[in-house]
Amino acid sequence: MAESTMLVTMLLLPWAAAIAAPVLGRSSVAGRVLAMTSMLAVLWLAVTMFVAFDGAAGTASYGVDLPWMPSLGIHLKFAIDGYNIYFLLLTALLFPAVLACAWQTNEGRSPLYLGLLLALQAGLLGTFLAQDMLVFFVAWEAVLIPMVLLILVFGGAQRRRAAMTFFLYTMAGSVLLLAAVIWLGAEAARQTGAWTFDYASLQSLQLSTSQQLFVFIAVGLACAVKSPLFPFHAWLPLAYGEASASGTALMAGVLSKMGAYGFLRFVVPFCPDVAQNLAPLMMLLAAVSIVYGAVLALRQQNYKMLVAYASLSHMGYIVLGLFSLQHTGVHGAMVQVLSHGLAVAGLFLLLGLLEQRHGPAWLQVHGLATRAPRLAVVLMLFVLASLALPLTSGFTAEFLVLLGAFTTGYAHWLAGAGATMLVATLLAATGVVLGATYMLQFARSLVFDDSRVDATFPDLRPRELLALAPLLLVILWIGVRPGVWMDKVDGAVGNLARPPAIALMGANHGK
Amino acid sequence: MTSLSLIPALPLLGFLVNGLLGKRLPHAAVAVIACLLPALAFVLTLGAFATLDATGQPLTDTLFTWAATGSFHVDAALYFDQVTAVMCLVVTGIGTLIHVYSIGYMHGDAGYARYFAYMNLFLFFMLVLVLGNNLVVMFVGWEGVGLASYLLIGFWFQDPAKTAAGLKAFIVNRIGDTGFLLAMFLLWYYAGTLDFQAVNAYFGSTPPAAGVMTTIGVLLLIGACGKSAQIPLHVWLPDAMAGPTPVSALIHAATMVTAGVYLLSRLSGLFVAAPDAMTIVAWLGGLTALVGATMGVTQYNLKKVLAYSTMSQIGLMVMACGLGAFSVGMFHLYTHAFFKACLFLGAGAVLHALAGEEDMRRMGGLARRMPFTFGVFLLATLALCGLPPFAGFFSKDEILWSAYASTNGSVALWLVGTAASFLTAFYMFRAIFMTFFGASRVDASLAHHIHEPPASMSVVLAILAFGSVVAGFIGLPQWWRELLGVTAPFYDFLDPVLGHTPLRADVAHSTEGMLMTVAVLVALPGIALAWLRYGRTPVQASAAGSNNPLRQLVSEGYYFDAFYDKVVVRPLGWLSATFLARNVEAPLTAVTLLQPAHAGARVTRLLARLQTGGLQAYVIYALIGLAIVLSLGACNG
Repeated sequence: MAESTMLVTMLLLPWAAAIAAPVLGRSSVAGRVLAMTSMLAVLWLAVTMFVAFDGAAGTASYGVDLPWMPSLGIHLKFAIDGYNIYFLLLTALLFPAVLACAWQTNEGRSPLYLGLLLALQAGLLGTFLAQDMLVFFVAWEAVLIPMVLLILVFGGAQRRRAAMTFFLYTMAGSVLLLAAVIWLGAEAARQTGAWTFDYASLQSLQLSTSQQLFVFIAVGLACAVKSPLFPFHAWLPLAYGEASASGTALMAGVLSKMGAYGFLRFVVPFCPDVAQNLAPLMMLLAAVSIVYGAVLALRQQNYKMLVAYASLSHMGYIVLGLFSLQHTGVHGAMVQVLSHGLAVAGLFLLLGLLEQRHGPAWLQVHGLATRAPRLAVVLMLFVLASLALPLTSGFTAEFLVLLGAFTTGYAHWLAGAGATMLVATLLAATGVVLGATYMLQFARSLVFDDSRVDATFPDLRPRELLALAPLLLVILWIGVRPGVWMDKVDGAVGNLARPPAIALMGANHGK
Repeated sequence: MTSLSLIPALPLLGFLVNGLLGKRLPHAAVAVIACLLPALAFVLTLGAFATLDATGQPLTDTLFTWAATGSFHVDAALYFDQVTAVMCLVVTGIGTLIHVYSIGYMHGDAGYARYFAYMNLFLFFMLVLVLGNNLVVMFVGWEGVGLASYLLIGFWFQDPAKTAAGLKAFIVNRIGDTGFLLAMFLLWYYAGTLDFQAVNAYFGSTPPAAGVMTTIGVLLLIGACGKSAQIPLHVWLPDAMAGPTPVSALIHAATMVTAGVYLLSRLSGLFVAAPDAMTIVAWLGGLTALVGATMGVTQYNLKKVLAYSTMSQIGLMVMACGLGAFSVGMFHLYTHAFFKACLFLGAGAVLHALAGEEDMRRMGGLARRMPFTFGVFLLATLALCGLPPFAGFFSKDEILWSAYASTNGSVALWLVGTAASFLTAFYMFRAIFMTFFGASRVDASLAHHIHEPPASMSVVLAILAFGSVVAGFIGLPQWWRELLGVTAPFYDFLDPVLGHTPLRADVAHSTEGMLMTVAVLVALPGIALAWLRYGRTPVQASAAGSNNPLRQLVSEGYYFDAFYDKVVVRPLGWLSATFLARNVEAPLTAVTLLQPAHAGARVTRLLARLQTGGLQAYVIYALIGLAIVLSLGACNG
């Protein structure tokens, strides 16, 4: 009982705070304090549950199940399992950091902003923790509204266009998703005689290949838009560019992970045969995303756009690893969810801090190392995580993803089952070099190049350092000792990974 | 935590202390922390070495499971065997000395604490690299030293040229690292493990098809090429001289750049089962040795002469590995660490005296003003040129002998190595004559400033010079050993891991003496020629070299940089800024940007309706879409 109380508290707290915070009014800090308290409480609950979660079993825990529309088999069912535990932690970690960085801004003082932020968190928690597909869909949609408003109210000059593009684009994906959800419920009714949207029940449905293909395309497209994957990323430059630092950090950090979550929660488990058949195509798409984003990032003069395209590139690794359908690859995809979420949010938040200090001319900032050494060091650490330097989570993720993708691709190639996966892996491996190039160019221009513009501004404040330190801590922890993290999702990964179609060589694999 | 894991942990501690608190500490405290911790690591290494020597059993230390899933299992584990011992002693020993030297060299620099923090960070990663029990741990160190190198090359970050050099070093290394990664994936695919011992055992006993072995070997070689500045990935090393000179000595001469040789030796069990890859390794090493030496001939920058020399000498080590003479390659690595560090630090003393002047055309006559520096520089040069009885003689001679006599060797390879030796003697004595002899061409404003280095620097120079003289005696060649009735402790020590060079049955030992004489004799005309060109005739301060195309080709580094710029950098820039940004990304986004002026009229009207109609329109739109999709789904069912 205590367990489900914790879960319910975590789900409801942001809603309650979202309603209460604006009421407290504009002038006082009370609204901000309340919002932060709620976020820290969620973080505390999430960490507690994360620590207690037994990943090896892979079963759901902290479950809560309330009938909502019993006639249609819809339940308010939430639980923590190996699929969503990283996503939960990511959501819990990022929001306090975002709020802390926006603490002194006009944005941060606005009651509307606080309310939207909390509603966004509530929606995300619902999305990731739902165990009923219709509830999932409702939460997925609920995320969209506060996000669009965040862009619309607090964005840059082109915010209206950015918000509308983002809205329509993701909406188009959502329609497909809803279609698949309803169809799955109907199919359950046909096969078992009762409507249900429960994950476990839906997953046990026997779907023909063509039925799987329909679900794969409908849900897959929604996720490809959300992640985004090339060529479904057209909303990204405008949305990431126009949203405020908070908005961009959350979009790139957590909202993009909804797409990744959809792939690994629904697309692969519900459509196992099609997933295996289309894996080469998906891996190729992922590899093209990786290279496309990376090459575009090479020549971006605008820091924010550079990180935006880097983000597109890094999201590709998640899909690449997942569709390798192999233990290390899927683990890598999972780690990349956390790693990319933390690193890209950190970078966007830091760019936001520069914007706060330097006003509209912040894109011309250079030579941070002399002007704001602490800021420079923290930024450098996020840069290193982004370029996947060992001992950061970025390396753990990219290494596992590429290892898994290579293993699958090579095995298929040797067995004469086509070279697409291997080609995709080799293509993706160029991202290792390209990623270092644009990230270090970025660092060189922003941190080191001291030859232009002289301006002084305050270094990182303790509050800001405190906001970013937890992100860095997790990044380093996963880099140094990923084993303890991977154990949490090993059960889920085991379910996602297919036994390799072609056995690996070497006696040691049998052990 | 055993003493083994303390070896890398101590420099890491130094990095953390100086990195976090260094700004607030007095310079003396920074220096003591930065030098004492590596010195302690050296003492611990000596202890581990003694244990290893006494028992003959490698030391291991498993810290924790790094990652495990399915059949994948990698431990964070350290391994200390004979090869590790040699590397560890060189890294901590020479490393500590160069730290001490830096106290004087970096005196008064604004980034004093930052410098020592980075240097300690480098030692940490380098020790992780050599102590790693598997390829993943090694890769952590491998990329980590790349980071430290990047930070130290661009240490004076106000200068865009220096940060560009650091960037280039990291990116070129990343290309090599990608090869390393792919090799790792193949190793894991076949062997199911990434532990060095298990990998060697697996590929030594049940190697897959020859093509696979060659591929693995070549991928590992690509990794080694990046780190060890071998052709075609050597282009970062000359630029890396932008860093402070002690950095060049430690990272870009004595330790990091030799990591490729260590990698090849570490996986010697695999390489001996890949004969084609071995041939490629040997020839690539030989080629780099020769090409690097020719590039040294045309340089006027003292540090760049030494940089090309390093590239060339590592080429010899790589060649030794390709010949199966792994322990010989390691021996040259060890002697090279002494004399090349001594040369760089000697050059550092010159730079220090001349306020940073690196151009040899503006030096000259320094032997009189800096006799001590000249002395140690000369000793190290003699060692590099391979003249007996200096350290380089024994190691280089053994490589040339292997080139001739090993089963993989050939007269052609021997000739390549010998030609490199001739050129080495020429360019080094060219440097000596230009720097230390003749009339002074030093700028008048600097002339009065010329001084011998302070004690902290000269002590280190003296120790390294001493090493350059005597370090070779622990690895005497076979026929000297027979003649003198002594052993070669170095080779005997490494024998359990790396074995002996496989020699052809038909070579006579008398040949060895003859070849050795040739190798020594070939250095003498090199020195003589250098004297004729640069010693006897005075050097002009404005000398620019002739315009002959061959010289142009060499002095431009065979146009490697220009080639990469044309073939890689610019096309990528075009792909990024022109093709993708304008021709793909722009139209792709334009479609969705809802720009009425640009989008088609029908789309505009529809979308405008949608916008004005608000929620209602959206709901209708959504339901229509839903109906279509559902009916499609139903048809499928």
